[in-house]
Amino acid sequence: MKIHIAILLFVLGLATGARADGFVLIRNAKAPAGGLSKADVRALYTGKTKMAGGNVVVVVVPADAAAAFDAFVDQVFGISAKTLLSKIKQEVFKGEMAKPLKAASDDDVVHGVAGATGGYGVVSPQAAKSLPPNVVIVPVGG
Amino acid sequence: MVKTTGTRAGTADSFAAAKLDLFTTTTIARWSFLAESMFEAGSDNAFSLDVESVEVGYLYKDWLRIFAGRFHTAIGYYNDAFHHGAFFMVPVGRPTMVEFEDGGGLIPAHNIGVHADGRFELGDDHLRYDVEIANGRAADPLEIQNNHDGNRPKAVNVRLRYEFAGALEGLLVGGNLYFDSIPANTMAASSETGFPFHFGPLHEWIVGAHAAYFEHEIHFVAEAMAIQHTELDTGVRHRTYAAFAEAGHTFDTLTPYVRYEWTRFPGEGDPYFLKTSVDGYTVASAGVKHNTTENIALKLQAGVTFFNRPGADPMLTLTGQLAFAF
Repeated sequence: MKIHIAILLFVLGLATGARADGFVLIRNAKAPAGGLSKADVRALYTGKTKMAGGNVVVVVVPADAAAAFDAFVDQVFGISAKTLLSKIKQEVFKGEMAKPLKAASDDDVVHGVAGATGGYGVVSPQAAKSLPPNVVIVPVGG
Repeated sequence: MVKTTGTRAGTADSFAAAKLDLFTTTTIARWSFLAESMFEAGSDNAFSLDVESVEVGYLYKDWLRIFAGRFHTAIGYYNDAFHHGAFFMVPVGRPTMVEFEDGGGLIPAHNIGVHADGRFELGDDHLRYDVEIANGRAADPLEIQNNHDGNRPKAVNVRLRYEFAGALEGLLVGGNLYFDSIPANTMAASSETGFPFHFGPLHEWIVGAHAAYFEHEIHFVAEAMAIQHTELDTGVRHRTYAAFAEAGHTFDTLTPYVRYEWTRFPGEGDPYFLKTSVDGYTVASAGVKHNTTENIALKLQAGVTFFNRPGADPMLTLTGQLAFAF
């Protein structure tokens, strides 16, 4: 019985951890090193910050609903992914932001970030375990 | 759209065909290109093509970006935030004071020249600047000087914005100063309105302030401006004042909103706008926007316009709109 409870608590713990993280922000290795605050990340995804380490910022966004991106938007922006994508569309329309790359999967996000020197994207924790050498994880602070 | 002054004679209702806005943008390293072309049916019921924007830009740093071409003047908030994108606007249309040149607006909405902008850190907050040197206004208020300037002096525009961070992130407040020298108009009539035009050279000063907030599902924009036309031959000044505020709140896919507009022309009349104090108006509107899908929005708006002209009946307007963006 104690073993069952321990397993149950372990599973619940994992689930809580997945909810707390749920996403990993990645960047091209040529983008500036170091962590970013949530405000920094919001500036990248809304066209306020246009350059990163001498490269034009290009964000990679999912073409369809993606759990990792939903978690990212919820935790960093406090809005829905649909609302953020609409904001991005408007910033592109205003000329304030480079048109984002669309990705159909985590692999596509990694590929897009690897191919853009100022690239940023969001993938699931699982996908972040095997990144190519020119893509690195960005710690996101408060 | 249904417009009525409460009498059968003063009532009009119409369907309006969609404006088709073709938008192209691309970024290659630090260079960017943006073009916006609009197919729009005019008062003659015929479609025409307007190249609304075409600009090439170079991004040097976050604090310096330069564009050249035809652009939406960085004046106030609305003009360059929403362009012609009805999908992005919460109400069905732009406030009248920031309407386009051919729509009764008071501002030089489009300009041809050079634009620079950038953003500086001020602690956690930011200061955004926009500076423009452009052809400015033509003698005919409806004309945009796409190919050449009618006089040598260029229009100069400066906009500064303070962008708050922390608890006030999403709030920006800013101001504008715009100066232009408008050539004399000796034409018998405007190219489109048919109104007689006879004025000497003018100096135009536009001073404005704006504030906007778009966080926590709140939509808020407010602008105010004073436009002064000085007759160089006589030194007589004519001042027009205008302001609007709109606010809304998004609940899931629905955004109810209200807007209030106020415009006053000088009692002696403005030689450029060809309006006097009796042409002033106040508009109150309320409506709802439904974000039906990621690409489609449905809007319904009711408004009432009160005219300063003695004896003029208020005009009620009911407008439905389907806006889409792909």
